[in-house]
Amino acid sequence: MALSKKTPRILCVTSGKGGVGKTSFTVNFAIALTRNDSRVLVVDGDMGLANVDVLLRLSVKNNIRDILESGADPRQALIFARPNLAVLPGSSGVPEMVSLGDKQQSKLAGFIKNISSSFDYVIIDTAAGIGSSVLWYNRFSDHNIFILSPDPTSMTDAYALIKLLSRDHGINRFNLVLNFVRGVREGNHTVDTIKRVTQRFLNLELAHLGSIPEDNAVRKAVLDQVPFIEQTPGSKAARAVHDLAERVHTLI
Amino acid sequence: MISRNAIHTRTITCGCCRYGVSAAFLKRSGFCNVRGKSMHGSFFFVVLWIVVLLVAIVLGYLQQNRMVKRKTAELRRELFERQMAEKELLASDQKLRQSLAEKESLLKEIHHRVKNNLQIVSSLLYLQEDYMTDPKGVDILRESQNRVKSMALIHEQLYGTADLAKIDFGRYIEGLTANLFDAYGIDPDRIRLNVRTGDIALGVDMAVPCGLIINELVSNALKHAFLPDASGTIDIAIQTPDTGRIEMVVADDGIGLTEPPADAEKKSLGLRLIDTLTAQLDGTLVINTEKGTRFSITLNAPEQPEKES
Repeated sequence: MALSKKTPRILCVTSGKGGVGKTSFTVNFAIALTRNDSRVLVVDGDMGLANVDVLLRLSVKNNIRDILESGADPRQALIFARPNLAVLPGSSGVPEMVSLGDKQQSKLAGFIKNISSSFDYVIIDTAAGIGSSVLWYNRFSDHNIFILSPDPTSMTDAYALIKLLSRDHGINRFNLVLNFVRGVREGNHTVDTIKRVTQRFLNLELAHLGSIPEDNAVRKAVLDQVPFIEQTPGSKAARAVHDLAERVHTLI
Repeated sequence: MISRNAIHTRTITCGCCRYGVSAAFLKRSGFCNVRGKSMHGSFFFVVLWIVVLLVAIVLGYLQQNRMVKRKTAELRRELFERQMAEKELLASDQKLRQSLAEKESLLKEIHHRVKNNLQIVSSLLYLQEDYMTDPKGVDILRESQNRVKSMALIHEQLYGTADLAKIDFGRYIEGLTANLFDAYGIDPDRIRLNVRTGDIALGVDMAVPCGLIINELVSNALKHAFLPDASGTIDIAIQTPDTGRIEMVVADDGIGLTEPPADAEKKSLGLRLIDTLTAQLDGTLVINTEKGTRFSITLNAPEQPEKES
């Protein structure tokens, strides 16, 4: 008799533009999910310039590139940063890893499926841009979370990536998380703007998962290489991330 | 006694402050009477008014600031939407241009193949000449070849130029007549050709029948208008006398045309073709045989677009 395995939900955190807080959100969101007794695997999908390990002060021995090249058991590369939080570190400073070939993609898909069976959530932190690995991770995931700031360049890049994913890759469900928001009104304006544009030109409805306010605690935590949700649990940003984790079931 | 209208300056004691003011002014302005006791109350009202004014100014400023912020946010959103709209327009424009370029290539390819097929038909007729012993039959085959070639030339010109919809009819006539001179082995020094055409561009629908008509008229002139060693001139003039009409004139100074038979059945194929095509294009044919032969055909033609420079 075959044992029934619980399938984890695979979340892809992406943005188009760099520097909008994808990695910081991924790490803190993952920790917030573990507080709800979920087991979370964070995959550092930034194949060229990985830094999830930096934010968590982890010492990396094997990364995605090593297991892809050697074919070793991917569990060897897993690092348990917290009791319910595992990290599959990415490679850094390896240009050839930015674009994944078909063979590497199917191999990586097999690895992630293999190791994710014991987790409730898999969160993939993608690189910036529209490289082949970014597109593949978005296709591979169950839910796509777009991090964007109220900055028009961030909105433009997010729109460009949404357009590409919807037009060429058949993805039509996107969740927005606004970062660095100064006030509820600014957040609503930003969401409204990008929603109107995607509705008008792509005929797509976007879901707004929530917003993270601009907070000095975040900057300080990044400098200290500690997740802000742990360093300053009472900060506005930490409370917002907890709220987002509570709403994870509303992801489209 | 103090005069009523006199202005007195006195020192008013008010709390711990001392103010040197015109008592008459204070009295007139109604802020207080000159008694020190009521001065205190009036001063309170002045301060109150100033505070109310300041609060109103601050509230107004805050309200205005809020409106400016809201308007700025709306303008930013509109700007973003416009930028995205511009990007989408550029992308669709590029897509359309790409699609147009593909269609143009396809159309050129089709014209090329039509021309090749017509040339094959012409070559087949040429090959059949070898099996024809009757000189009249050879002539008929050669005439058919020329007709097919005149059609092929239109398609050749269409794929060879940038405008796929129209051909330069003047240039076409030059190519067509050169082919005919070559086909009938005519020395251009013996029979001179003057071609005068305006800047006329014709679509395929119009160019094919017009080309066939010119082909018949010039062939006829080359074959019959001049005695074997005689020299002469053929004039071709094409113009648009008014909008929607084309006038084609083919004239020679040869021996002149005998009266063509009225019975259509008895006419040559060339003349029947000219009649039929002219009628199809709702045109009129006038033949003048006073000095040589002059065919003047006026046809209905769609409005000629201005040529791009």
